[in-house]
Amino acid sequence: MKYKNFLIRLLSLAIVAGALVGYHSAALDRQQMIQENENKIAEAKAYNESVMALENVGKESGQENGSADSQESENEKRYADGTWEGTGTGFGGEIRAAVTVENGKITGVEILSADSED
Amino acid sequence: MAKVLPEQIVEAQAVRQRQLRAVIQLIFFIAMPSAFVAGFSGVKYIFTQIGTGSVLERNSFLLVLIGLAVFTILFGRYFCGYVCAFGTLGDFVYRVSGFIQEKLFKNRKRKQFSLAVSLPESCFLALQKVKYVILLLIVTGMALQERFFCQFLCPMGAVFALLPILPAAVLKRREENCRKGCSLCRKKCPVQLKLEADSLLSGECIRCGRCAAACPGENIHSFAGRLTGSEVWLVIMKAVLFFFMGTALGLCRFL
Repeated sequence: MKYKNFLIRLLSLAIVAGALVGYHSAALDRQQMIQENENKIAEAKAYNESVMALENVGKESGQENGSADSQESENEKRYADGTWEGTGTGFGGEIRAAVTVENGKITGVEILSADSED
Repeated sequence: MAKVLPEQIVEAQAVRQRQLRAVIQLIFFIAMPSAFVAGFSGVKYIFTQIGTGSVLERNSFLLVLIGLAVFTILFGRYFCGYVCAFGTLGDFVYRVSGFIQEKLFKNRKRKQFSLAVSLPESCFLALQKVKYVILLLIVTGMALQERFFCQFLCPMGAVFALLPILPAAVLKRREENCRKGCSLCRKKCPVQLKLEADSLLSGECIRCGRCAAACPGENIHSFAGRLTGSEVWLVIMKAVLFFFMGTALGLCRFL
């Protein structure tokens, strides 16, 4: 066979090159899967942390209701001082009310109009 | 009737070819000495990446390796004969050592040393500087045996010798035209090829062109028997091609 030497070498080279390409794509897939796994782990961690954060917040507000002296600063976060008007829907129609807040606590509720009620 | 050139013409041809090769070797030695190292780093990169199970990214060393391999497939081991800085160093060392031997021993012929590889005890002392010891051993080898490193040690040579070189680029000898008992080509060959069909296909030929230049019958050719591979224009064309490719791969120290 003419050029037998060349063809055998060419075949060997093709086999080696093919093996390297095959390895490369396998390694690439493996790297992608590792990356996806790490992403999922990171997501789960972040979710867990956010849930923990909410639980802590809930715990804190529960503790607050129990104590008589709450710090002013905490109260001020919840309710701003002043008189606030609002409207709502009663059985017969519109109801208007005003809420007074002093030092972060509700000190008064006044019904301004409830004409349509019984 | 086979053509036989007069001795002076053959001699002049050989000298011209040798000088052209020396000039090109010098140019590449100054401009691209790291080509061989870059190629070998590419081989090493492949092995280490496979070793750690990592991806084979587009590394510059890998590109150099591919570039050298493609060039060798197209033109044969021209890189070894004309570009490789280590080969150039070997040729230079060998010539200098021959020159020194001539002056020392006052005979025309340099002695043929047979290389016995042995490890003297002093090697253990020098273990901290192993790389210098190895370099010294290699240079010594290169002084005693032509292209010693290229024939026995070079890892890039091992890679190149296995590549499918295009049949058009392989040298062939027209044995029927040879004078009986001539063997000039064999004597000139730096890698000790017998210049028969088998040895010329072995992948050891470094395309130095000495055989074709020395043949009084112009019996050595590649390319369907037309080109010797040592033509001035062809040698320069390959050098320029390699220079462009090497520069594109970032091997040139100045560009």
